[in-house]
Amino acid sequence: MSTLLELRGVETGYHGVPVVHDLDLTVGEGEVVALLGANGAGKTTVLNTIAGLVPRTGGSLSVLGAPVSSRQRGAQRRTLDVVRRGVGYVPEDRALFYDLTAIENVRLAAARRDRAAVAAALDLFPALAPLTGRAAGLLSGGEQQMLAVARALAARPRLLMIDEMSLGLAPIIAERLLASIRKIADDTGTGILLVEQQVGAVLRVADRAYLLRRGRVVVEGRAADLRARPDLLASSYLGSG
Amino acid sequence: MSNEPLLDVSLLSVTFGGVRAVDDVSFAVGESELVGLIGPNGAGKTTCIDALSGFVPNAAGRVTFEGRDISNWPAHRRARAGIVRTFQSVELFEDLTLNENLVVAATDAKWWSPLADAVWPRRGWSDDIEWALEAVGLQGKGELFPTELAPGSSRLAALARALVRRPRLILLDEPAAGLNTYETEMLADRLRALPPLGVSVLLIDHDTSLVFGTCGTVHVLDFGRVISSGPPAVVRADPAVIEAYLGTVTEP
Amino acid sequence: MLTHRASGVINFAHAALGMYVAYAYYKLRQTGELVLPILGLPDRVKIVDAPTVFTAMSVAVALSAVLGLLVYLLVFRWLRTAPALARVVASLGLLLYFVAIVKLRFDRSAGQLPLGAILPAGSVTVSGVAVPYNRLILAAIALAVATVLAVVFKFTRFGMATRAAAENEKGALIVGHSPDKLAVVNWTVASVLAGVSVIFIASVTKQLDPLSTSLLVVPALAAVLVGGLRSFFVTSFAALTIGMLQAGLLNYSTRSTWIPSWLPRSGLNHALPFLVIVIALTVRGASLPGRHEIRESRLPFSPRPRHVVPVTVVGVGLTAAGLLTLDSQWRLAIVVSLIASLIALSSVVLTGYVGQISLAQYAFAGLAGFVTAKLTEARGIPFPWAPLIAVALTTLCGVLVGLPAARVRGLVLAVVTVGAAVAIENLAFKSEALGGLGRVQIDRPELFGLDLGFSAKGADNFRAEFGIFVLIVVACSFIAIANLRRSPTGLRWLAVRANERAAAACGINVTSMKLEAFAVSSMLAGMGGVLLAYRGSLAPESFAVFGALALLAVTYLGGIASITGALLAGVLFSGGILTHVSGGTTGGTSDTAFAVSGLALVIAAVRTPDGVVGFFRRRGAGAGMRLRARAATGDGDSSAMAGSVEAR
Repeated sequence: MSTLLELRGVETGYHGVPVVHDLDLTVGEGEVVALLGANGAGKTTVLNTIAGLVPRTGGSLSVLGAPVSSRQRGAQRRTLDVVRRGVGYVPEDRALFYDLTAIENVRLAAARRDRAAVAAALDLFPALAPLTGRAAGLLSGGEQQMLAVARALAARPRLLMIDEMSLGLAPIIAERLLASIRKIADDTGTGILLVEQQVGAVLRVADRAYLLRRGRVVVEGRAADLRARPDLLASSYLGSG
Repeated sequence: MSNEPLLDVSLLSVTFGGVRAVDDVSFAVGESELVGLIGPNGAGKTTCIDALSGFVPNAAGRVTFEGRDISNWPAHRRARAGIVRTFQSVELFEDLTLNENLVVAATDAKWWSPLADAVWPRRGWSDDIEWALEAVGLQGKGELFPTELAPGSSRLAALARALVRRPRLILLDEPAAGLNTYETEMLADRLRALPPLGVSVLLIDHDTSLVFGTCGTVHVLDFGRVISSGPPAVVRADPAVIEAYLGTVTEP
Repeated sequence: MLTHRASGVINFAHAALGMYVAYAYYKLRQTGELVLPILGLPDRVKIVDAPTVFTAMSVAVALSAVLGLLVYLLVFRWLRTAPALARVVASLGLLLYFVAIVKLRFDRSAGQLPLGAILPAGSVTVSGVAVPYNRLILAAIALAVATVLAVVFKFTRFGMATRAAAENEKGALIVGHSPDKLAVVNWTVASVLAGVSVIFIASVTKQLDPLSTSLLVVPALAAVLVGGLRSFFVTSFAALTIGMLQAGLLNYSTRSTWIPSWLPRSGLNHALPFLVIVIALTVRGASLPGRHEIRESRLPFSPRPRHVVPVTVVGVGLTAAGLLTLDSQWRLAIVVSLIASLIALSSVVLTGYVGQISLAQYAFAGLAGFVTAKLTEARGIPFPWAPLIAVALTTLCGVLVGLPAARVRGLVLAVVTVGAAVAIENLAFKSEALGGLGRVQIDRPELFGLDLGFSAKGADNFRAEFGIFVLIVVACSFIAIANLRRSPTGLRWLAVRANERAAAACGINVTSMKLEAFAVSSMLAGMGGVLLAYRGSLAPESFAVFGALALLAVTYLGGIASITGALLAGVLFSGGILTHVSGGTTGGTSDTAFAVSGLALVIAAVRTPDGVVGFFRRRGAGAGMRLRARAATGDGDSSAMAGSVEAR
C-alpha cells in the first residue's frame, strides 16, 4: 500500500497565529482516515493546508508523492497544482457554484469529455437524478452536500478530502453516504480523509482516526480501538467536568 | 411584571430560501440569569442570535423583551433598548482605538449631534467606558488599536464594547473561540460576575465545558429545534444530546 | 459586463478604452498610421498606406485585445481583493488617461476625422418615426453578440468555468480551473467588444468625442445593473430599451407641450439612466450586509487630526500673507486650490470617513453655484441669503441621492452617483430656468458694505478680499470637519465604514448615519460651488462629470481618508497652486497633466491606498511595521509631512 499523503511536523495557522502544531498524519491507498475533534480544534485548517489554500509555517507536506511548496505567494498556483495531481476537496462551505446547474457543477470538475466519470459520480446519489438541471443554489442543504461530494468524485481523485460531510444531513443519509465512500475507497484505491462530527458513524467506516484537541493530536489509532472507548471521545467533545 | 422573564422567545422560526434554520424555538431568559445555548455545527445557534438581535428577519414567532414585542424592531433599536450582542468573528472597528470603539457604543446619536460636534468636539468619554474595560480586565489598554491586541484580548474587548451600554441582556456568540484554557477560565469568571450587575447572558459556545460550568440553564439545538433543556447535569446525561453530538457511538 | 464577470470590476474606463480604439481606427483609415497610447513610446507607427475597412478593423481588434490584456495584467489583477474604492479609482485613472491621451495624440479638431460609414444607409418608417437601416443593423448586431455570448456562457466549458470562477474563486480552484487565465481571456474579449462597438456606434451616430463617448459607460452600466450583472439577454435588452427611450424622449420632448418648460428638453434623456439605476437597485438591496458577505480588505487608514489650532493659525496666516502679497495669478491659483480643497473635503467626509463612494460631489457643487446665480439674478435675493438657500437646497439634494445608499454599497453605489451626476448636469445645468447653456454672470458679493468681489472692475486683476473671504469659509469648514472627526459623530461614521453589522449592534442607525454624511458632504460641496460661482462666470462644462472624476482622483491621490489629503488635493487640482508653480496655465487644464495624473492614480490605487499622506506616514514609520508604527510613533511622524494637520 503506497502512501498518498504524508504530513511530518506540520505547523500552520492564520496571520502568524499558529492553529495546528507538530502534526504527523498519513493516508494510504484505499484507506479511510477520520480526523476528529471539537469545533475549533484545527481540523479544517489541516485540510486547507493540504489543499494549499493556507500556507504552512513549518514541517513537510507531500501529496501524491511530490512535496507541496510553502511559499506565501502563489496560493492559486499551489492549489491548482495540488488539485491537478489528483486531490479532490469538499470544503466545509462546499464552494459550490450556486448559479450553475447541478450537472454543470459536476461537469466542470470532470476532465474534458469524461462523461463516464460524471455519470458514475451522479450514480452514487440517486436523489440527485431528477435535480441535475436545477441551479445548485436551489437545492436543499442535504442535496448540496451530495452534489459537492459528487463534484469532487467526478475528477476521479486519488486522494479525497471531505470536511463535515454529514453536516445538516439526516443521520440515515449521512450513514449511507459514508458507506458509499467506504466502497469507493475499496473499489478504486482512493485514499480518503474525513473531517466528521458524526463520530460514531464515521468510526464504523474508517480504518484509522486522529483526534485533535487545540491543534495537537491527542489520540491516534485504529478506528475499532477508538470505538471501544466512547468515554474518551465524549470527554473530548462534551468536556470531562 | 416581575414574574415575566426579561426575554421571552416563543415559537421563533427563521428561514433561508425555504430551509428552516431555526424552527419553532421557544425559551426564556430571566432577570440576572445565565442561559446557555449549545448544539452541533449548523444547528442554528448563530442564526438564533441573529434573529434575537434583529440581524435576520424572523419568519414566524414572537420575541418580547421587558414585556414589549420587539419582533420587528431593527437591530440598532434593539441595542438601544438593552439587548446587545457580540459576534463570532469579533468585528471590532479596526481603525478605531479600543476607547474609541467603546465611545461609539456608549453614545447615541441625536439629530443635532453633528452640529454640536462640529462646533465643539466632545471626546464622548464616560465612566461606563472605564467600568466596561475593567469588567473584562482590559483597563489601561484603551489607547491600543484592535490589531495590537492578542486574539484573546480582542474577544474581551468586543465583550467590553457590548457591556459599555450597561445592557439588560447580552447575547454572546462564541466568546471563547480561540482562547486558551487559562483565558477561558478567566472569561468564565467574568461571565459569572455579570448577573449580579444586573446583566443577563445568553451564551453560545462550542466549548461545552464553559457553558456547563457557567450557565444555570442550558438549551440544546439540533437542526434548528430545541432537543433538550434544563440544568447542565440533566442536559449532559440526556441521550438525545449525546446522540446529536456523537451520533450513535455504540454498535447497533 | 463581461469584465465584471471576469474579475468583479465595474470598469468605468470601458467605454474610454473603446473610444481610444475608435479614434485609432478612424485615424488608421485616414492616414494609415496607428497611434500608440503609451506615454514615452513613439506617437505613431505607419502600418499601411491606404488600409481597407478590413485591415483597419483587424488592427483595431488586435489593439483593443492588447490594451485589455495590459489593463488586466498591469492593473486589475492586483486589485482582485482590494476595496471597491481602489478599483473604482483605478478605473477612473484609466479613463482619465485614455481621454487625455486622445486629446494629446489626435488632432484637436477630432471631429474632422472622417467617420466613414460602415453600414448601409437608408431608413424604414416605424409608427411614424423614420428609423435608419444602420441603426437597425446595429441593434441586430448587438442582439446577435448578446446571443452568442449567452450561448457560449451557457453551454461551453469555458463559459461555465467563467461563471463558476466569478461566483466562487475558491470553488474554481479546487476543481482545477485557474481564475486568472479565465480573467485574461474575458478581459481581452470584453475590450475587443468595447473597441468594435464604439467604432460602429461612431460610424452610425457620426459622433466621436473623448468625453461624451467615454461617458457612454453610464447608460451601459445602468443596463448592466438591470441585468443584475448576470444575464446577457436582460442586459442587452435593457441597453436597447434605454437607448430607444432616450431617443424617444428626445424626439418627444422637443414636440410636446406638457413637459414643464423649466426641464431642459435635451437633458431629460440623459437623466434616464440614473432613474433606471436607482429603481433597479433599490429593489434589490438589503439594508444590512449578510453574515457571509465577503469582507473586503481595509480601506485607507483615517488619521485622527491633531494640533488643529496651531496648524490652522499657521496655515491661515501663511495663506493670508500669500494672498495679500503675491501677484494676481498667484492669488487666482490659491483661490482655486482653496475651493478645490473644500470640494475634496466633501469627498473625504463621504468616501473617506463613511466609506460611501460618491462621484456626484462636483455636480453638487455646480448645482449650488447655479442656484445661487439664479437666485441673485432672477429673484434679486442679495448675497448672504442666496448662497445659504443654495447650500441648503444642495444638502437636501445630497440626501436624496444618498437614499439609495441605504440599500446599496461599494461599486454599485459609485455607479448610482455617477448617474446622479449626469442627471444633475443635464437636468439642472442645461435647464433654461437655471441659465441654460449660456454662461451665468453673478452679482458681486457684498457684506456690510464690504465688496467681496473677485475681479476688480474692468481689469483682469484678482482682488485679495475675495481670497480672504474664501480662506475664512474654507478654514472654518476644515476646523468643523476636524472637530467632527475627533468627536463621537466622526467615530460613528468610521464605525459604519469599518463594519455596518457591528455598528448596528452598537445601537447605530446605519442608514441615518449615511444620510447624515451625505448631508454634510453635499453641504461642503455646495459651499465650494457657491464660492466657485462668485469666483467668476459659470459654465455648465466647468462642472461636467469629467471634472468630478478628476476631483475624486486628486483627492484619492492626496489621501481620501484624511483632512490633509483634502488640502493636498486642492494643491494638486489642475489650475491650482501646483499648476501655477509648474508653469501651467492657471485656471485651465493641461492634457498632459491629466494623462500623468491618470497614471499616477492607477499606480496609487494599486500601491498605496492611503494616498500621498499615507505614503509619507509610512516612510516616516518604516516599511513593514505600519500597523505597529501607527500607534507607537504617535507624534513623531508629523515631522515627515511639513504642515500636516494630523499625526496618526
